[in-house]
Amino acid sequence: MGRSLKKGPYVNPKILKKVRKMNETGEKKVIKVWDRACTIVPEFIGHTFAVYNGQKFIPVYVTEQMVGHKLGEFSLTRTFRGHAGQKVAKKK
Amino acid sequence: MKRGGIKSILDRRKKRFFDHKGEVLIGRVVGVHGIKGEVKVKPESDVFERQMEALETIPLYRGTKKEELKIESIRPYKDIYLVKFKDVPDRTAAEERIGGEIWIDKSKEVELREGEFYYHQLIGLEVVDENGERVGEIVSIMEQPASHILVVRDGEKEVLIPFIGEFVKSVDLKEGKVVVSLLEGMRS
Repeated sequence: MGRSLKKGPYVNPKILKKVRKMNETGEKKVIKVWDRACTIVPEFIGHTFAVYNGQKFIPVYVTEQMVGHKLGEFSLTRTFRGHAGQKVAKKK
Repeated sequence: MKRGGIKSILDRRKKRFFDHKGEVLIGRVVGVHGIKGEVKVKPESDVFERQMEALETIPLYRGTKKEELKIESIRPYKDIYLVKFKDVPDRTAAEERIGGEIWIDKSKEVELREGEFYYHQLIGLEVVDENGERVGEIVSIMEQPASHILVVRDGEKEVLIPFIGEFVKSVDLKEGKVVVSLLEGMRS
C-alpha cells in the first residue's frame, strides 16, 4: 500500500539539510548515504550520492528522471555476474 | 559399471573442444520456432542485432563440430531472436543446431557508436584526473540502474566512477588513457 499523500514523501532530514547547504554555497561533493529509503526530491538534481548497498558506496549522480524514486533503487545489493559475452558500456 | 566410469564421462563433458581464445560469445541456440527452420537464439551480446547484420556468415560451434552458416533473416521475438539460416531448410535440420554457440573473432566485432565501448577495450586502461594525477587502472565494470560504473584500482585503493559525461571527460583508446574529473569524497 502506498504512503499516505497527507504525509508527503519520506526524505531524510539530515540529507536534505546537507543538500540545501551545498545548494546555497554552490559546493559540490559526494554525500555518503546509508538511508536507501530516502526519496529523491528536485533539490537533489545534479548532486552525487554515495549510496551504501551493504558492502560498497555506489556513486549515484541524480538526474531529473530519478525524482520520486528512492536512492536505494540506484544502488543494487545483489551482483549479477552474468554470462561471458559481448558487453558494451555506454557513456551517458 | 567400470570404476570411475561416471567421473570420466563428466570429465569428458567438461573438456572443451574449442578454446575460443581471442573470440567472443554472441549467442546460444536454445530452441526452434515453427516449421521453416528458424532457430531461437538467446543473445549474449548487448549489440546482438547490429553484430549479426554486420556478419555474412556466422560460425556455430556445437560439441566437436564447427559450421559456417549464412544468415537469411533475423527478427526479435520476446527477449530472444529468431534467426533463419540459408542451409537450414526445415525444423528437423534446425533441431540439430540446438545447444550451438555463436562465437566470433574479436577482430570481426561491429564498430560501436560514439560513447560506446566494449568492456575489453576499457578494462586495463589507465585513469588520470584533469591535473594528470594517476587515479588507477580500470579493473572491472559494474552495471547499475543509473549508469555503468568503472571500478578503478590503484594498489589497495578502489575508486568507483560513474561512466557519465559529468565524471568521465575523455576516453583515449590509442593512448590507453581515461581522463576523469572527480568530486571531493570520491577517492575515499
